Amino acid sequence: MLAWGETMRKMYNTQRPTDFTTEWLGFSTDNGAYFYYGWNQSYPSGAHKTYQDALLGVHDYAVKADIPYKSILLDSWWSVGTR
Amino acid sequence: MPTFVAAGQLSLTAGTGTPGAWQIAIDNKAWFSSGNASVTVGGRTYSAADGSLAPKGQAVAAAGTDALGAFTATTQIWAAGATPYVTASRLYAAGGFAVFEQRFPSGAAGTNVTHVKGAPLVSSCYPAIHPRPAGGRKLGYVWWGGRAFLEGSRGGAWQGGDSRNGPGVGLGDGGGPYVVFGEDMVYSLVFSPASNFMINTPGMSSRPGAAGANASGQSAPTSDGSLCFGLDAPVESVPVVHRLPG
Repeated sequence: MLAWGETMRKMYNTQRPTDFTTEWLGFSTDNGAYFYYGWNQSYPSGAHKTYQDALLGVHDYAVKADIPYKSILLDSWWSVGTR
Repeated sequence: MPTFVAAGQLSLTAGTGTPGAWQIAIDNKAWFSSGNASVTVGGRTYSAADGSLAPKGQAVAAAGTDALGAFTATTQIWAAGATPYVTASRLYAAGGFAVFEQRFPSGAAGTNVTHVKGAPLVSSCYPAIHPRPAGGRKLGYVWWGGRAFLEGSRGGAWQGGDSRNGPGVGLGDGGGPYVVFGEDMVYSLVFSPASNFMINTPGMSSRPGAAGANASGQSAPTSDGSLCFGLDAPVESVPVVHRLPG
């Protein structure tokens, strides 16, 4: 995938913007993501009570699985959602 | 039109029999062979499968150089009825990727095979890929699509049959790039549009003959089983000298 990206940038004479979120692996909570409006159904019942619990669970799992996330996208639908 | 990128040394070899046939190999091991190139013009789908898409002369090989470097191109001119259609592959000397291109030097009208937005079909098919991996190779995929290349994204085992729904990757106007990988996770192969991103999409080809399009989209055309990149199914016409390079 990295080689594909390099080829496409070369084809269109563009450069990757210097941005923390494009340089490093991050965790997204946006639509389509595993936890999007499904965090309390998809995880073992009772494990996570709130959005905050869910994200702390993501952090715990990332540490356990050695996944080097450097950012988390807090989608607006999370922060002002009704559920 | 799509770009193929492989982690190993990519090669394209000319196939036998059908004009324009080829095989994708990585480190000399075949992954995919070509399906049936096709194009829809004037409400009729012309296909290499039944010879209705007729080659005009032999494929021509030539060397060249562009922004991506030196390449070897193989170009085939076709006749879809009275409409010329050109397909070309460019394998780059740097290795690792190839570009497939289709051209409509005189433009084309009546290219849509349906009016249904989101139909899993394309109205022009090149490269045409046989979805069944060579040698029964087991493959997996990850596909990016939907809004923000996120919402529809999915992955799974590559379904190598000839289903109208394809091998599992997203098709139609929500389609995006996808990566295919082997069980050993050593090599991967990326398929991607490389230009005209709003209308150049993965999709299944249509069977040769009347395209079956109608205003309400009630008569859904069926696929001939080739996985393609090409014009999104509802696109009705192509301007003169339109290119879909990959």
